Formats: sequence, structure tokens, C-alpha cells
Amino acid sequence: MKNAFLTASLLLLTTAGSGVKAEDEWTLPTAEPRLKEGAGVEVATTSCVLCHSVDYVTTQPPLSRDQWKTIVTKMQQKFGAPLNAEKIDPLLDYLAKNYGK
Amino acid sequence: MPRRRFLQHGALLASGWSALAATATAAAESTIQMPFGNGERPLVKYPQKRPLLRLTTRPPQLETPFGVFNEGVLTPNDAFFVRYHLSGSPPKKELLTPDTFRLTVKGAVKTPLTLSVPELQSGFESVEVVAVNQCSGNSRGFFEPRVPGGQSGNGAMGNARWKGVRLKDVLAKAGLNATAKQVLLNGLDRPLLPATPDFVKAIDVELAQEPDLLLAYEMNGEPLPWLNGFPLRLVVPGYYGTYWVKHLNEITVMDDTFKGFWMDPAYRIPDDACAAIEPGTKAKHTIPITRFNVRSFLTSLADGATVRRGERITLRGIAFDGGYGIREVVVSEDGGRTWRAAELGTDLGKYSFREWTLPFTPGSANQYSLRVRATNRLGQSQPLDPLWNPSGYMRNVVETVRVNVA
Repeated sequence: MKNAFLTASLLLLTTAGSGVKAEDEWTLPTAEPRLKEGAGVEVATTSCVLCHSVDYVTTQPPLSRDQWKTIVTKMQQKFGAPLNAEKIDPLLDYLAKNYGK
Repeated sequence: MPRRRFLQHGALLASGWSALAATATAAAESTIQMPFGNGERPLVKYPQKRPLLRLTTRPPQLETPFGVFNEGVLTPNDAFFVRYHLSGSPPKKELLTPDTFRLTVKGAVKTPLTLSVPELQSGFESVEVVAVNQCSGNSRGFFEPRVPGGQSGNGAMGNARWKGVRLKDVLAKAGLNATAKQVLLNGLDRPLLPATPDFVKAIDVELAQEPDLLLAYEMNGEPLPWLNGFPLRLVVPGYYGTYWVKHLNEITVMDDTFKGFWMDPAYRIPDDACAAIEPGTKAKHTIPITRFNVRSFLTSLADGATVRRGERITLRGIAFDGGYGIREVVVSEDGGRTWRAAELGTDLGKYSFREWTLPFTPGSANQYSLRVRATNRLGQSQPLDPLWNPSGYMRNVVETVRVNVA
């Protein structure tokens, strides 16, 4: 009884609030967070966002340039991220400056 | 202070009307501050889930608000944590319906099989097990020095009643070749780029023959939620979640040892006692992560909570280990100098959370540092000071909750 009431209320609330159907069980939220603006952000946006949202970057603790390099190298060599040498330095500069320690 | 906000949300989620309020605030992008640096997390509503702490958006990684663990020993499906690795996750509905979804069993077997979920249900004995699933990196955010990776708090774990068929029964029907060495497990979550390694895990044939490993289709009496592996996932009780492959559609028996990325170099721990090394150093030798170590938590009071002087309350929490069972839980009110044994709750099996309770009456002190420590039936326990490894796996320090007396 309580559950039925709750479901009905949730349905009302979510449909009124966002226009998304509460019973749509096969649709994920699509809004994604964004990276900080700064020199090199476009490399990060084009190279990283292809495979994952940027909260993979923004939720990290502050990391040194070397730690970012280890991660970026793994992305390039193990995961096949489309990163050539020209892109890696600007990307590391951006990460170290905006998400570094 | 952050933990207090956290507790408020837990309390909100506990009652019906307040759950509505929590949903409303989630739509308004409410956030929770985890008790470590850069720990702000939005509470977001996902399909079949109540608002959970979102670590990442694509693929989704969602953490259970810690207050949920005080609601009961079984973690509700709508609060159970979510962890994916690859961009094509979760797989689309079209791949998962009864019409389309098939499990294939192939490789070093006498008779390859192709089975729908209804065929699994009707063709094999169904069994249940209550078991904790815990992410290898649960609690990584608390590591000091900090380590890269998913910055989870303590909510990348959950305890559920899983129902399914035994992996060993399905393997027996296919008939293992005498040379079989490992069993590979692959699900329908897929990478975007061809160069990205697919999420494939391997277990030894000996482990695959254990009767407790299930191909599970139900969780707490309902079909698996989409984000927890619908329609079929592997359940490896006592082992870290990395082996609990979701949307499991391919089992391949190998004559060899699998060398895929997700077994090596990923998900490996130092080959030392306690899987720990000196902070900031690298391990000389590593092995695949396997079973949980012992953990225990106080769930009825959050860090920073206020209790009344002279008023007797019941401390409550949970303890679990890698499948030997919890023998004892002890609690200290004085930061670890003296300990009292807690009473253990109903035993739901050696792989389950075990509830513990202990009466506590705050006395003359203005603050109490409550610590909880469990020991399993092998005599394994928890370290008083945290251990460290470079991947941030297997944290199991004796937890401390500080409460103020008013």
C-alpha cells in the first residue's frame, strides 16, 4: 500500500520535475560534467571523452604530472586512445595544471 | 561535518515521504561531500535505483550512501552499488531480452552449449546464496598517500540473496576436457574502440567447480536490476566483484592460463602477506586479487554524531570476510585501549554480512572514539593502522567513528 502510494508519488514528482518518465527503466541520465576551461582542454575533450565521461578525471585526487603521464600512457598503449605525441604534451600540461598537485 | 550531511541524507532515505524529498533534491543536483579531498559527489537517480552517489557518468559508477547499511543486513536492489569498466555499458535492452539473450559455453568442452535464461532455470537445479559483493577498490578514497583510480568511499559493497544455477552443473553438462585449466567469463558490456581490451575475467577450473559459484538471475527475490547484470551474472561468493561478470553471455574453457588485460596487469595485488607494501613504493611481484579480507563497520552512528550522556543506546553494525564466517566482533569505546565483545545477529551464511549489536551508555567523557574489529573463523582480523598498496585495493583497517556527548 505504502509502496504503491510511493510509486505513484514518485511518478508524479519525476514527470512534473523533469519530463522524464519514472517508469522508463532503460534510459540513463545523459547530462555529463565538464572539464575546467584552460589551455589544452580541447585535446582532453576530444581524446578522453570518446570513451569515458570527464568525471574519470575530475574525481581524482591531485596527481603529479608523472602520475598523469602513467595514466595517459596506459590509455594510449593499453586502451587504444587516439593520442599521438603532439597531443600528449599539451594534454599532460592541461591535466597537471588543472588537476595536479 | 561532511559526515553529518551524509547522515542526514541517510535518514531522509529511510522514510517514505522523505524519500520523495531526496528524489526532489537529487533532481536539483544535491551533492554529498565524502570525508576525503575532492570527494564531492552528486546524488543521482538511475533506472531501478534510488538516488545514489555518482562517481562517474559514462560508464556509470554509483556508490551506496552508507546510511543504507543500517537499514538491514540485505542491501536493497535499488541501493546496490554499480561499477562498469567499458564505454558500451550497460548493454542495451535489445541484447538482454529473453528473445535475444543466450549464454554460450565453449572451448575445451565435449559439448558446446547455447542456453537461454529460461533454459537455465528449467534445466538445472536452482540454488540460493546470501553473499557480499565488494569492489576491489572499495574505500580507495581513504588511501594515504592517495592513489589514482575510482575514488570510492565505503559504499562500493552490498549484500544480497542471489538465486541461480551452479556454474559447475552447467560446466558438467558441457563436459570439461581433461586438459581444462581456466574458465573465461565474458559479458555483453563492450568497449567502443577495437583496441580497448574487452572485460574478460578468468578463474581456475578448481574454483569453477566449487558448488557456491552461481550463474545468478535473481537478486533479493527479483530479476537482477539492469545495472547489476540483468539477465545473468556470475556470483563468486567471498571473491571481489571484479570476478562477478555482469550480463554474462560467454563462458570459454581454456587449456592455458589467460593473459588478458583485466587479469594482468589490472586487478593485481602485491604478492606479500596482507597484500601491502611500503606506501609510495612499487610491488616486486603481483598476483591476481582473490578473496575479501575481514572488514567490519559501525552503521548506527556516523562520524560526528551526537549521543546523550547517560542514555543507553544500541550500537549496531556489520562484519564480513572472504567466506570463512565471522567468529567475533569486538568494540572499543576508548580508541582501542579496551575492547568488549558484541553480540552477533542471525547467521545468513558464511558469505553474508553478519549483524552485530552492543549496548553503549555514554559516561563522563565529552567524546568517544568508537572502533570495531572483527575476526573470522580462521583467526584473521583487521589491522589497527591502514595498509597500503598502489592500486588502492583491499582496505580493511579497523574503522573509527567519533561521537560527541551532549
